[in-house]
Amino acid sequence: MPSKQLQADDSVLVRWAQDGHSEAFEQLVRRHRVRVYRTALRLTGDAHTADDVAQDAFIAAWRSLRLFRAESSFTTWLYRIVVNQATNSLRSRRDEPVDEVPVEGFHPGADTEAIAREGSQRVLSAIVELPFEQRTAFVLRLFEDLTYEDIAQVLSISPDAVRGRLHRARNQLTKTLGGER
Amino acid sequence: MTPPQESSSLPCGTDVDELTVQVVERTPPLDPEHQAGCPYCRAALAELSVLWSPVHALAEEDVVAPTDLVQRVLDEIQELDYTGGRAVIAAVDGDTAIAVRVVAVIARKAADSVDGTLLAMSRVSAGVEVGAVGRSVVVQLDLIAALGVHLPALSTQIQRTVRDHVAALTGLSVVAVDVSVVEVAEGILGG
Repeated sequence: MPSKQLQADDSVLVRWAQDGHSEAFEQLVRRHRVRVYRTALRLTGDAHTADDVAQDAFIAAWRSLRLFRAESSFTTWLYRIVVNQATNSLRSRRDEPVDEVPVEGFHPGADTEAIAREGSQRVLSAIVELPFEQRTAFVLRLFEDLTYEDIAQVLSISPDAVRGRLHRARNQLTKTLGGER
Repeated sequence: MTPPQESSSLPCGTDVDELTVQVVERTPPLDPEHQAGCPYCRAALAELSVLWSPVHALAEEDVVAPTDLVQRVLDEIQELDYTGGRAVIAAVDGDTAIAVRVVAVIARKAADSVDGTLLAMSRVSAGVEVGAVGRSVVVQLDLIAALGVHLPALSTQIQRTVRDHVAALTGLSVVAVDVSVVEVAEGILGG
């Protein structure tokens, strides 16, 4: 049976969730789960870690929801929490190797799939090797399509600082990807 | 291959960084006429496009969140919010205790199944006012209704459905189902 999807704005659901209605928060989790998991996956490079980060991020959001003052959008606020959770997770797992990341939902032919997986893994490894501050800016720009201003809000830095981080990330990735060809 | 280095200029004077941003972020060229005719820019753009194509391919891949992520989050939240309230059905053979949150879930799902309800949010008080002590429940529902639905009829239908479901599944006595329509919105059916 198909489930109902509410088209109410995030702000309406946030207001209800702030009043303690977990059902409204459930709608927010359903709505943002792919975004949160995808960001965690690109930041950590590991499916299991990303799963933990996504879960912890939502629980952290629920715990601190009453502090959310709507000075930014709920999405921006959520991205900030994901980045913080990923930071904490990577700090505690610094010495662990990066697992292979499954490319879910992508099912081309067997040969092209193998090539694509190899390519994806190579790119992901190069991204994960970036310093975290560059990686966050790069992931939010390239994979989440955030504007420089939105990234600045998420990371609590200036748009110029975002430009600087992206510039350094591009330089590093140009060298890494170019050296592998 | 030696990739074009950022922070350098091509013989035509174009900044490689400018071209790199254009390719990486897929932004329009700053000087399209020049780029269309300049061999240095065209060569650099071609090289950068090949170099960055795996990144773009990765960005376009679908990512599916783990199927149980939402449920795990909800379970954790429920644990955080659990207040310990419960309704009790006393019997000769022993008591049956049912946590109010269980009643809340049943009530919410029942209300949610009624056409015209977009989102039902339930609160439950145990052992109040009427009926055997510990066996009676009052369900309070706040809901967002679909725009255009006749609200009194929706409320009546929800009250009936919730009372029937809770009684059938728990054996508890539903004293009242109070419905507050707190918002109307447009809704769709989907996965």
